[in-house]
Amino acid sequence: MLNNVLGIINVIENEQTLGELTEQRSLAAVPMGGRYRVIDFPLSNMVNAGIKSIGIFTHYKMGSLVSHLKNGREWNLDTKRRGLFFLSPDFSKYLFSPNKWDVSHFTTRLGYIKTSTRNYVLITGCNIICNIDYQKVGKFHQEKGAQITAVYKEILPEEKEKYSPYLSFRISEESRIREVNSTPPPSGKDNMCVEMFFLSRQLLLELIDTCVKQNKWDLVRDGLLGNLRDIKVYGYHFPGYLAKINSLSNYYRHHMDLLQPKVWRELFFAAGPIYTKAKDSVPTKYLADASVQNSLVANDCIIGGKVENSIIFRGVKIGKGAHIKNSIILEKGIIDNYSRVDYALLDKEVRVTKGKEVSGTDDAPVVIRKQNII
Amino acid sequence: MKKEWIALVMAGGQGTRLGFLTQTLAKPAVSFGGKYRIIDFTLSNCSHSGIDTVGVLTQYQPLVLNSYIGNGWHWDLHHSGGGVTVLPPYVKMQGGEWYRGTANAVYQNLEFVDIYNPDYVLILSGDHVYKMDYSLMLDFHKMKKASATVAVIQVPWAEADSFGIMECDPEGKIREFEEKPLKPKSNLASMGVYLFNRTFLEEYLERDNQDSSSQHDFGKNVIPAMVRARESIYAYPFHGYWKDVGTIENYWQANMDLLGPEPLLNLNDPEWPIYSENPNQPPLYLGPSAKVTNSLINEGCVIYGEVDHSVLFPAVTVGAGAVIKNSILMPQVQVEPGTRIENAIVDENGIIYVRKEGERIKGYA
Repeated sequence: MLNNVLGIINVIENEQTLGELTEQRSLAAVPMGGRYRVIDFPLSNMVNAGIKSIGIFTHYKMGSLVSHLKNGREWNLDTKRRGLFFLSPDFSKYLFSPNKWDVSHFTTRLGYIKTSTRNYVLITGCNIICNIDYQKVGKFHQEKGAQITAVYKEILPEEKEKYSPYLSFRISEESRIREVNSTPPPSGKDNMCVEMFFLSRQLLLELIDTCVKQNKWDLVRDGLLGNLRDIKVYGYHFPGYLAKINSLSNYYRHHMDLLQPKVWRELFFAAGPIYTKAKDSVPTKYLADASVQNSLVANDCIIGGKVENSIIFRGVKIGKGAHIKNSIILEKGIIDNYSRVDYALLDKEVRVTKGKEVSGTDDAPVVIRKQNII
Repeated sequence: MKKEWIALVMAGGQGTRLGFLTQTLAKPAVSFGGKYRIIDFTLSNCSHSGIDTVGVLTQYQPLVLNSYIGNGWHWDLHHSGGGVTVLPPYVKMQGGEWYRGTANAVYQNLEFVDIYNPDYVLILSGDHVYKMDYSLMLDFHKMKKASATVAVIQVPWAEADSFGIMECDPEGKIREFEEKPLKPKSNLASMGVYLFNRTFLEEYLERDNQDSSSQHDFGKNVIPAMVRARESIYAYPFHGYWKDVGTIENYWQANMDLLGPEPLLNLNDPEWPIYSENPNQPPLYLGPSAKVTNSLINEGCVIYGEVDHSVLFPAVTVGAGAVIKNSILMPQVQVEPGTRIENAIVDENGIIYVRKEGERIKGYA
């Protein structure tokens, strides 16, 4: 178990990319997979590996994130020692950089990293959805005698576009990272950096210090991956299912991926469960005229209509004669009798009134803002 | 710390009539309604009624129940200066003994009551399914200036002989209390919910303890003794759903009462949610050939077959071509493709109880 590791989850993500979904919440708090939020995945992965001390670098619009995590009880992080820590930025002291890996985000939270008694640090971003066993990453790190281990994912040529922008690795046969590029190679497979870094806490502090002294600003490009010749940086390949939530179309596609039982099983069970806030929700009720196929349904719903190829979040009510296809209905949506929803993404508490129709296309699912009434 | 009232929940019963469901756990710990354990109803009622100190008296197979109750967090009952305390029988200076009936169980825990110095003590059963605001009963009790109040519900006359039946005057004062009368004089049945003035209760428990002919049971001995002595005992009429799930038939029926658009027992009540442990399971997956109607199904299930008029607990799998009707499937049950299950209760060990006469169905687990 990685109980000698300090986990850092940096939730300073670019929120323009998810449009309507991040108007009122941070990317970390975007609802996912029927009953989760984005943060549940990176956080549960750390907890499942035995990490007991986790700091969250927070950002703007933190209300829904803080209310979701609270004291970390569902992740067993409500402990007397260590546990969950929110590290908010001090907007009065520095100009807030939108670059998630800006060194200033680390220098302003240096006290937390310095006073930790853990020997190692695992730093991740927050927009990668996967179920990864970090114990394997830790083991790989020791076996290779690495100073830094960076997790990457081998991606197919046709996947490059949907994952962009990302850092591309050129990796030696011994798994050592030799080169880092911001632009992917024009042809062939590629190794995508998934922004998960494992290193000693001491080295992290040194790299932050070096960046500051040399007036360099990107902790990943200039710090962690800035000196591949002298620092032994190894790449750990994650072979499992992975989604990057950096656009509405990726968000939609990822949810459709969940309708494959293989992906569902891997994402929710592989290295451990994904924890989320408990809601005391009632098991979902299916009425006499319900017809649900190839769909995921969370608890607390009442389903009286037809649902196909869709993800139904908690507390959704679907009336008799309503027909939902290829759609994602977030929490507490109300779909009245005889209405139709096709290729749509309905944010929380949207109501589609009787007989109305909401439809988009496969390429461009229509997005309905939180609490709108159609 | 002084409290106005505290609750004691009787959770020691074996529940022999529930058969295999209570082989390894106490009746209040039996799973119910696709998610809950039976005691969730009583503890949620306490929590919503503003009771912050609850003793749970356990005896039979308490392991699952004890660990489930924990510090009471599931029901928002994890208070400092109160909360939930599990009260098993214990050894005293003069030796120890098992609880010999509900009244004796409370008698043996009067020290627990004294810690909180309450004005009123509410005695509850941990094996009934209902939603009830006990604070309204307390208001009634105070208004009547009663020494004790017994919650009652109207039951069908035909079933009255299986309950404790009360006969009252027009004011609601109880004139007669008969446990399972052959010829019931009324259809007002005791719900096993008793509210006592504390000193009054202590006095009668002391007397009951001295009485060697007593079975030390509230319904059989203590309440009848109070009524006989013409004490000020009132019946508090409760209107709503209430079920003693002490038999397999009642248990099955209570589960089925949750189904339909207007169920007899509504769990989707934002004003009175039933708190429970929340199993951490992903949303359920319904496959391309799934057909699910008239049912209550929890998260974590994977369904390719047909489910009608049934209750499924978390992480149940139903293979393609399997048909489930009028049944209750406990957590983790795996139904192989093509299996047919009707009118049955199936648990994770593959034990099946079939409700009606008929062939015993093979279980897969």
